[in-house]
Amino acid sequence: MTPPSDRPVTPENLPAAPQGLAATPQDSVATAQGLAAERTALAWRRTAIGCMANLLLFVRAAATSEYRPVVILAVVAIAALAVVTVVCVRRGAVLHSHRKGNWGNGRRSITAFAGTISAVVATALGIAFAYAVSAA
Amino acid sequence: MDYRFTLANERTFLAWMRTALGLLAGGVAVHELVRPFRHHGLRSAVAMSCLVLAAVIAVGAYGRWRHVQSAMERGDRLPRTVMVPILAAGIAVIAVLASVGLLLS
Repeated sequence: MTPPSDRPVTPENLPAAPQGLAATPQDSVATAQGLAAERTALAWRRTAIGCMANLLLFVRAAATSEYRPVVILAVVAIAALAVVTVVCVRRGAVLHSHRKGNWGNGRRSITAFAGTISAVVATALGIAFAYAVSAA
Repeated sequence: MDYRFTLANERTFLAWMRTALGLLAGGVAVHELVRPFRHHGLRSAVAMSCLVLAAVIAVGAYGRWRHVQSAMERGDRLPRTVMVPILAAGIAVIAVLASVGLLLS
């Protein structure tokens, strides 16, 4: 048991608030921003895993299809997966860095990701169209 | 600038992109896995609709992200979006096509 201190009780010598509990509005905003960054990093990973599953489906389709041009789709899918992995890792590193307030708006990551997926979808559409024409 | 809002915008973009990826997978799956459709044209139509919708959503998600981002930077109200009705109508069309295909098979 600690002997009673004869110092006056002021906000300065009150015990510190437990970790994780927001003490001030500023701390609360910082914690909320940290959690938002964490959720965003998780969303990137979830999306990258979805991409991986999707693009593997393309590679499998190319391996089993007799229609040869589907190989182009597999090559595009593998290249896209490489780009998506790099984008996800780099954005994740920025979001996990604890330089709070310096996460950027992710413009480069988002542009690269949207461009890559759009290129994959455009290739898939082109090949589906060519297949439909050749089958007709 | 409060990072909570830019990060939420980024997550919304990623959620739209996951939707596009789901449609892409759906299109390929319909083409690869669905054999019992007697009407090949209908099967192709379902697959093509999935792919077209995936393309619209992927490009639209990027445009939407940019619009929201610039509106937030200017401090304006958030812009309206036509993405939700497009997605709903597109999925309804795909569902009708798939149902007709199943009934005719």
